[in-house]
Amino acid sequence: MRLLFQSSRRFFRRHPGQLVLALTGMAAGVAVMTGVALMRDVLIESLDGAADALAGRDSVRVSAPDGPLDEDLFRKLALQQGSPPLTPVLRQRVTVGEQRIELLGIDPFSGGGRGLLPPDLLADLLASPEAAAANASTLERLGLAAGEELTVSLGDRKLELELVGPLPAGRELDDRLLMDIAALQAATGRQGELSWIDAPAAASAWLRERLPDSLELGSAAQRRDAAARLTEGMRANLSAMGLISLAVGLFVIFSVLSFLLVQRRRSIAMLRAVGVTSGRITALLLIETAVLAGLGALVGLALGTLLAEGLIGLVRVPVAELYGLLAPAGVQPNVGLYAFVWLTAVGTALVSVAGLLGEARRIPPGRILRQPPPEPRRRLAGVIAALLLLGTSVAVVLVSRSLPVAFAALFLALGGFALLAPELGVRALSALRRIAPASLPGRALALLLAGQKRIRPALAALSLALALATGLAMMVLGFRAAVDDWIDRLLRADSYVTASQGGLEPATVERVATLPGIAETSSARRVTVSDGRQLIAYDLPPRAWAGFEWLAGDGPAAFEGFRAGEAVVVSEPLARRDRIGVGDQVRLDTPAGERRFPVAAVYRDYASERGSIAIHAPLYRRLYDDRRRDSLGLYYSGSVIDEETLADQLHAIDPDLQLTSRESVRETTLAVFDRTFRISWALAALVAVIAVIALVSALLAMGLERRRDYATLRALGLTRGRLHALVVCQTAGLALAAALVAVPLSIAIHLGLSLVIQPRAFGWSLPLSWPLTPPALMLPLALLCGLLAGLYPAWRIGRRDPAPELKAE
Amino acid sequence: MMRRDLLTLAAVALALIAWLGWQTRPQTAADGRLSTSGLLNDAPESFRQVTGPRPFSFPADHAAHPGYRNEWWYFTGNLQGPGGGRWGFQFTLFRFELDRAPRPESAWSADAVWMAHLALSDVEGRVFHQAERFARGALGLAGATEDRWWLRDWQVTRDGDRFELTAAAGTFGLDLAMTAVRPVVRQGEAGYSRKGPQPGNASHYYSISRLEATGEVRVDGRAVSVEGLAWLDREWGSSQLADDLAGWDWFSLQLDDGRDVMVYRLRTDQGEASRFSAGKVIYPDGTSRTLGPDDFNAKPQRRWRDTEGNTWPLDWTVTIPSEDLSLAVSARFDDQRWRGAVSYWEGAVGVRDADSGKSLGRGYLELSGYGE
Repeated sequence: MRLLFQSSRRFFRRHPGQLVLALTGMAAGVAVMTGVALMRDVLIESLDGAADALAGRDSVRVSAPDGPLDEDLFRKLALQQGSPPLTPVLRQRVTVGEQRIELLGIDPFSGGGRGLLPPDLLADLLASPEAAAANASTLERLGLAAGEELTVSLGDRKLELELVGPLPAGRELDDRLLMDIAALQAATGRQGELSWIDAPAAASAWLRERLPDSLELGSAAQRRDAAARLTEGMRANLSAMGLISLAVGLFVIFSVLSFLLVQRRRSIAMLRAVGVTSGRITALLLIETAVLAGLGALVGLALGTLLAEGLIGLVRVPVAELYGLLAPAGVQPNVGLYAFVWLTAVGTALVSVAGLLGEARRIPPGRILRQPPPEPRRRLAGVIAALLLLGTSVAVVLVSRSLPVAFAALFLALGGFALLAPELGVRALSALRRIAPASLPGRALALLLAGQKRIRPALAALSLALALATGLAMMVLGFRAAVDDWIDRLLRADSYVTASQGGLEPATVERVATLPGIAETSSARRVTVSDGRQLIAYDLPPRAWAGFEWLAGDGPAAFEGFRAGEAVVVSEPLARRDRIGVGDQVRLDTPAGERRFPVAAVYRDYASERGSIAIHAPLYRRLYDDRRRDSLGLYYSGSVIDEETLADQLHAIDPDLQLTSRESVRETTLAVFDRTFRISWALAALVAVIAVIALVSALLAMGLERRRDYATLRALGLTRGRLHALVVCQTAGLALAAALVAVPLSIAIHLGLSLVIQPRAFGWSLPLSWPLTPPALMLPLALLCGLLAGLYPAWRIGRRDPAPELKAE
Repeated sequence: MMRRDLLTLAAVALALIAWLGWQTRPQTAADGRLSTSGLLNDAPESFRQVTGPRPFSFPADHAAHPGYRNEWWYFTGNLQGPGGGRWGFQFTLFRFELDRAPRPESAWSADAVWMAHLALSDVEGRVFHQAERFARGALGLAGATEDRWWLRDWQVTRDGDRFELTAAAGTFGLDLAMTAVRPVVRQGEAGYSRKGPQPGNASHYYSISRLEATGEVRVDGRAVSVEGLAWLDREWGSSQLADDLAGWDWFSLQLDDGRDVMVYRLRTDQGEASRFSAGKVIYPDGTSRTLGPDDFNAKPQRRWRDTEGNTWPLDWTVTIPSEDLSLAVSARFDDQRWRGAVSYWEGAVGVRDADSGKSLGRGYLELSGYGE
């Protein structure tokens, strides 16, 4: 065996480039997979960081289903006999430029949070009403040091804070500033309010006995579940991207290993001649693969960790914007996750080289082959397998409604495509060749086709990667167009009024409605009812009603039923999630008891994945005795109105009122959308990078394999420059063929994501769309990449002296 | 050659594994501890200073004295159960007034921070139960009036000479009714207790050196009726301690012959007794005699090392020649050390005649500045 290892070692010492390529391919695939897994973890485990830091990991929380708690509750509980340590918290979300942060008003002397604040820091925090304490990573991200000032925005108000710290706290307090509760109440005008009270888990029974029914007592596990549910769709998408990158990375490994085999055909034949059994050869190859994949995977784990640290911002921002959850700004890797990714990567690498082993075993002893063995005619079997996979995936999607099944089906389908892609790619290459068979490009492609066994994995990897990136782009663009269309329809009013704090009081609403130039108003009130569903109470004039896109149960009858307070309408995600349709009943827990209403219609909605029930506002006010509104829509009587004057008039009514134009609501919505999908673009780009590695490795493999042909061509008078052109034509041709195959595949992926994955992950459907810009851009880009990727192999191949290659026989 | 390559490979792999391992290190938050002397020496000039005797007036002086940096209500005592079980207890309320900063407009705005310590020394079981609580002086969470001293549900109510204490924490608690059998004694010079050379290095200090206590202690759900003697100390000031003090050793001893003895030895950074060390002997008729630094001597005889490596002198010889007392004071058991925000030792002690070994009484010992 020692002999074998030495031969292996000698080979890699002579070809360090190949070692680097193999390691890079593995590392790149594993890096993306690791990065994604780490970011996913952040979305599940650490969203509840503030409670962990302030009250311990398994704290229970007292909160009101909608709105703040009265601080008097804390006083009453804290003064009772046997009171557990209680941690009162007032939370205020604010922004610093684009960045969202939370101000947490705490009482450092209550509950379990005292250990967070060393004595000096505690003194600093109490010394000034502007003091806010931050941990080191938050200070770093803000670019400020303790002692410096920070201005935060709360609606259109500004708060001046004086930073103290750093807090000796971990990631859980990232982007959370601790303030004394008295200071935060006073600064935000929220006297008397608490956001929640945390207590140790052991205090549940004590609290349950004493809490009024209107309040909720939730466990840490429930909070974590809720946070995890909120980010479910996002996590599923991330996971899929991670697995896809690993798959593409494996193609690279396969391609590199098969290339290594080609190069060592001669030395393996010699080893066999000196009596090494084929079993030993197999063992050698397996060990080689394990070492290469193991080392590459280790590098990938490290790169993936750095990648996740770098990209976590792309995940945190949408999570904060969409779900109001602040995730840590850094990842927290653990041994289990590393071990899982490493074993998966090495295991799949070993499985993927199984096909090569057969080929290695078949190398007869002693013969130094001048040609690779004839290619087996097993293509038909491949096509049949591919069609079977595709058929199964379609069948599975039709049978089951679950999201994981849909992802499994997507993978089956991708597997099917991966089997079909080489066949289609080779055909595309032949078609390209036939355009001008006698020209240099034509001859180049003919040469390429002669060694098609080597280019098949590369074709599969390349076309899959291109198709995935393109399909994803198509889905995102189609989705964006759908959201734009939806928000454009929905925003019927000329402008909107909100209050920077709390809601709008009925008196305020009345005064706004009577302002000059206002013809009509609509209003909305959003509350989360006790079972976690969102209820929206609308005061809708008929033209606002027309802004809804009805997916079921349209028509005047639905409007009449809604306006009469006899029926409700529900959003598509709710209808899908709870499987309710027009005519079904929804149950509402009101203070006066349970009420049931028929569903009159289902409307399109991209605002909430959990879905919402829309109810006529007068009915809501009657049932829930809540007269506030969250926002008002203003319909102008004339076509033009001076919005500055209007804003001044609103400020005169209440300085907290904010006027937002229709256009700016739309822009904000789309900006949030774009930020949500930044991570998808980043991952798609990474997949594309891995694909380029696949391309280069395949071309190098082929170049080496066909070096005798190149040498012959050179001997026959082909100049070095022409040889370069020949090789570059081959890479460009290969990339173009892969791109051509990728076009229909990308459309299929776009349809699968839009029509199957999106509705299952988020509950909403997307109207069928055909955004053709991504494939139209992908073709020239792939060609360009192919040209660039050809330069290095061309240089390598061109540099060789033809004479020794020819003498080899 | 082969070996060298293998070693390189292994080194690279190990370096990567080490780096990955470093990434998985847990993140821990630090805890902070307060310094006892730090709490008592420095106070901004905005606080009122104790610079001379003042007339005490009761019950008004049982209430808090805003304007001073710190103040405490301090009960200690030795109790006996029916089967001969012995217990020590401590209940203390500390008030720390906050610096004068602009007070935000909120019900949570506090002028002071309160800390309460509750301890029960189970002498037979050699277990020191301790619990610590904090509260801001706001929302009625803590406070001290003429007849009620409290922090959340731990409280002392006063009716004439009778004090009722109720406090429980997790596994232990106590309910005691304590009746003063001695009048208030003004420590130092008519209640003006100097502790350093600077004006303001002093406190107003009074004690009730003997209260008869009855009630019950509870541990792990088991209640035991107890009775015994308690001691109340009340003290307030702003920058009591001089900067060069390392800590103090404080004794409150109740002798069977009816005499009560309080002596404290202020230790300088060099470990010597400061000339501001002092004491008081209180006689059964309520009269008392002040002890100066030369009137008594307290000498450590045995030290105990705690788990953190700090050593605490737990056996002492206290001699007061003018009273013809030579007392061997020794901890009922070693580990009566506070491990909360402040590190100090406060525990029940027995008092014997240093020569004959005959039991003379009981008391409490407080040691500070050894564990910081």
